[in-house]
Amino acid sequence: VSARGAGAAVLALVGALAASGPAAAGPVVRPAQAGGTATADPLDDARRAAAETSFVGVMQVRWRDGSRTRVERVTVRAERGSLVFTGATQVVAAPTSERLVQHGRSWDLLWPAGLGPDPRPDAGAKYRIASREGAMVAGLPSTVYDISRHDRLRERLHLHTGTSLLLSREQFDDRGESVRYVGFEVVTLVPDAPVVPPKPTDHERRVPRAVPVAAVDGLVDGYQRLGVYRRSDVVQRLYSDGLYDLSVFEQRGRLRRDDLPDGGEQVDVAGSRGWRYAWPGGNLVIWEARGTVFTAVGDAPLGDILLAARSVPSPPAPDASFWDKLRAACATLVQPVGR
Amino acid sequence: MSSGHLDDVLSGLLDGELSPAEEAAALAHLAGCPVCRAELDATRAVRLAVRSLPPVDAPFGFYERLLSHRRPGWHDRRRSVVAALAGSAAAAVLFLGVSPPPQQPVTPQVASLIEAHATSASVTGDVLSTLTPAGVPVSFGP
Repeated sequence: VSARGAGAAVLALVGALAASGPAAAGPVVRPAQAGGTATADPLDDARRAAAETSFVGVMQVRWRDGSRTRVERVTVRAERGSLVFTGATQVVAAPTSERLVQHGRSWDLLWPAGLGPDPRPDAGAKYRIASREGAMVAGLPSTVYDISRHDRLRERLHLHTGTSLLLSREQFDDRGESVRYVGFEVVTLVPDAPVVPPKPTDHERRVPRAVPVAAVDGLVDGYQRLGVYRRSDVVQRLYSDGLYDLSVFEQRGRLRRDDLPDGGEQVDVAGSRGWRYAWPGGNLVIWEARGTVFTAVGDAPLGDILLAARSVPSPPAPDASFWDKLRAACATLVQPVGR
Repeated sequence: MSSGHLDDVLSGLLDGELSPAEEAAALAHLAGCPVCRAELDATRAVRLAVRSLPPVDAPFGFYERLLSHRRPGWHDRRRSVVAALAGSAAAAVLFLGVSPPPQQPVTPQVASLIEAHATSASVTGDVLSTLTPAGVPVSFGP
């Protein structure tokens, strides 16, 4: 599937940018990182750069789906912290942290301003990050960040040497083969590319609300919980290990297996049968345990997601003790009061 | 909606019993009415709490005593009314408590969950690498 809806516009933009030659220097300039082991988190630098830099470009999204490699393209425009991603779906990031997605004619507010989440943990606590001078990417000079664990390369980032804008990000499997890539094919840094965030037109059905939780906790392998949110009857627990993010969605009920998408690969999740899918940004695992359907969505390699998914605490079983159920019921009653 | 609020409509909304037009109208009202949103949240929480209660058996002979026939005098008749009311309340609690939690079939809306993940992760992560994939349509299989 390609970005059909915007295909003509994307192709026109590719042509226009290619004709304009190498990108010009942007308004935000950061000192280049020296070679060696990096102390700062390059993803933090990249996030700040995306909020401060104006640019327009075309990003390639490439991922391995089973034995196939799939490629899509998305146009990105950014100005003063507003970013518009135009593929088959249009997504907007506003400077106030709002996130909107276009469905048909309406703009759904999927993330309101001021909701959080908590800051991510330091990636350097789990991964080794080394930097060096890199090759040109889409006509821009880059600094390369190799992010490794147990002497195995996991991710390679190319950040623009001048602004720290992320130019490309690539993930590797245990054999060192590329499994996922997001990077600019063409990009132009421009001081003025007017971007006006749209107003949400949908009602609040999909807007998440924070669920107050008492204690900080996490999953195995350094995944810390950043927040818990509720959309209708779906609860989302958001985790991060500093490099990768993982959402675990919970829905009470029985998994209707016949309605699962085709192409799922069966996996074991702590004794429960699950199904794994590759999506353009990572992996997704669905399983059921004790009357709850879990869906884990993340950008980490499948092995990491399965490891974390196996440590997700199960809800009380239907035959749990009276006090366990009473405790759970009281917690449920208290939750809306704390909102 | 006698009071200008959704009132009983909320139950229908939670049970999925409204027509598409009624549901759209209810959701539109909810968008602008914090009172009804709070009521919806509270109703949902109470339902979840009740459904998670354990089964309770009635004391031995409860139903027999409740249903036993006596010719009541005035005081007995008043006691009978009280007993009937108490029995009805107990029966309602038993009905709600004894009923096993409904195991509703769930089909995860994969595309929506992916969008929810990408948008939330992009707030603290690198916005380019987390949101660009969200612009790509989700499709699986051959």
